[in-house]
Amino acid sequence: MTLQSDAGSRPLGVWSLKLDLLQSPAAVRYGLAFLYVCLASWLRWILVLDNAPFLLYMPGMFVIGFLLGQGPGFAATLLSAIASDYIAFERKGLSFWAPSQIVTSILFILICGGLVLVCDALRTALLARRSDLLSMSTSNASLMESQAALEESEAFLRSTLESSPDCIKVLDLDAKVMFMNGPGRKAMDVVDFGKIEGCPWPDFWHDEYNEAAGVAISQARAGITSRFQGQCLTVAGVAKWWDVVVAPIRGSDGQTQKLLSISRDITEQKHAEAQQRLLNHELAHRMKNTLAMVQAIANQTLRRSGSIAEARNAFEARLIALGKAQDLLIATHWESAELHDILRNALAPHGIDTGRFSIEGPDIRLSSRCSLALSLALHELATNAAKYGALSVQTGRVLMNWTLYDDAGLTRMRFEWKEHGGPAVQAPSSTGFGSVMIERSLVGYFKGTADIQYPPDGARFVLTAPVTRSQTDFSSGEAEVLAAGERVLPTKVDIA
Amino acid sequence: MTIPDASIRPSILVVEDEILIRLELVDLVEEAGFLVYEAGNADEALRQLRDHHDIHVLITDIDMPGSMDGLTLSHHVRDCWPPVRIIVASSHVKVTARELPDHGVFIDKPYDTPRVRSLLSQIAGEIQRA
Repeated sequence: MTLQSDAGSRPLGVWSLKLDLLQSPAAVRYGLAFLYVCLASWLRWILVLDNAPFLLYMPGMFVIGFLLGQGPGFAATLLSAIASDYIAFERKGLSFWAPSQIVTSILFILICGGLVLVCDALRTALLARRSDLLSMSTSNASLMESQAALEESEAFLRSTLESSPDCIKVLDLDAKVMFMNGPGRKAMDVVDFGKIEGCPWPDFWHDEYNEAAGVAISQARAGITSRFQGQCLTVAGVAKWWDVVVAPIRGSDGQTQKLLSISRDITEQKHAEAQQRLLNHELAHRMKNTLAMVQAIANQTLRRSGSIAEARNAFEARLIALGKAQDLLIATHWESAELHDILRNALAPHGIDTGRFSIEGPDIRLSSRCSLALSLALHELATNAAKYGALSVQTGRVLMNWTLYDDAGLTRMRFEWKEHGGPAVQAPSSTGFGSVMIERSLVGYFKGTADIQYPPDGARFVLTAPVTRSQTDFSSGEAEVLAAGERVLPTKVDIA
Repeated sequence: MTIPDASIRPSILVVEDEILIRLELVDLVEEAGFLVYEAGNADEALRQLRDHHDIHVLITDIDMPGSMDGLTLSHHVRDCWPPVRIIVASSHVKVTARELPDHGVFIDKPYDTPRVRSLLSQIAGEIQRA
């Protein structure tokens, strides 16, 4: 029998017969039986069927027995016998007590009583059967409902597991891997899950993280959810950082049956954190280093100045020069600066735009330290020129040019500062900070040579230094070049 | 500071890659009566130590380019030139006594000039008495 899903709510086929009259009050049932006997008697009175005195009563007994039950059936049988005999007496003059009449009546009572019993039994059986079927269809429907709910819940769970970007694993109580979701397999470079299925999960972790994984497993077994961060290699050997939660999976009895491990890939976050730490560290280092440099400049200025007033002015100007040089380096994350930019930047306070400076040379990048040192040296050169040299008179000029040349297979740079048009000059004090900066300090930073001369026609300063080339095209003169100085990271720059 | 006798003038090796800071440090140790040798990195420092057997004191910055940093250099010097007194300086690394070689002294940068001066003159006195 095929049952529809809504079978429980709608009586089916033959079972839809109203067999519920039995549930009606007794008075109703007996009344209906009495009514039927009256109706049949009235018909018999009119029709006077001699050959079949009980014919009109018999069919009703089926119906009464079937629908109204035993009691009304028997009552109707007795009533019918009496009514039939009475009608026979009234209409045909037959005696109640004629033997044939008595026998016929008894036979009628027995047959109809039997019919009532059979019909009642049939009805009882039918009712029982219907109730069975109804309960069966109800239980079938609820079974199907729960099956559908289970399927839906499974589909939901599966789609949840597959939608999560996290690596979700189900482990047995021995921490062996039983399941891993798709994104997890991808993140862990798992091509064939069969190869890792059943492997102990803590074995994926090494060193202190193996220990952490073991602790998390013990806690999950004890019903406690725990969390740790660790590094672990994927199947392909790629090191990744994970934020891991390990939790118990409880059965309906509340006992831990399996373990759940959810790992989130935090490799990028860890790299960003490391990068941030590095940057902070670098910044702190630069700040402290700048302070140490400022301290050196201050002490050197004080040590090498004639008076406090002179020292104060000179120190302030040097501090400003250092600050400007740093501005230039900030643009390149403290890596390097281009020589033209360094010159323009350092000489801006000395009138670079007045047409008194001439600058000529190829594009060269200097390391941050060389940039700072040259900026400070240029400040000293320009200050001296403004006080005593070419920049002290309107007609004076400063020519700067630099070239690259080959020296025994190594590339070197030759930078020249040449003053002319100024008054006849004399060599300044060789112990002043300017001289120290120009001669001793530059030599150290550039690992080269520095020479300053004071011929009568104008001061002349020459710096030579080895440079490293990042391109082999020597002839173009536009190669990106990094001058001497350690800690130089090659910076790719577009050369106009 | 007076220098009692040139023959026992204490000598110091200043290892610092930042030239300006080195210049200032050189002036400071010269004022304290030391004969000064200079180096810009650990390799240059080792060369100076091999060339000049009279170096009594090493003062080195930690953060330096080259084959080893100042702290490694200080341990190397402690092993190979045990009598050399060692001063380690850094602007950003805080060094604990355990990380320093035996009898090593750590000083912060920027320098606490009066403290460095008194430390140097104390060392100079000890060398001259020895």
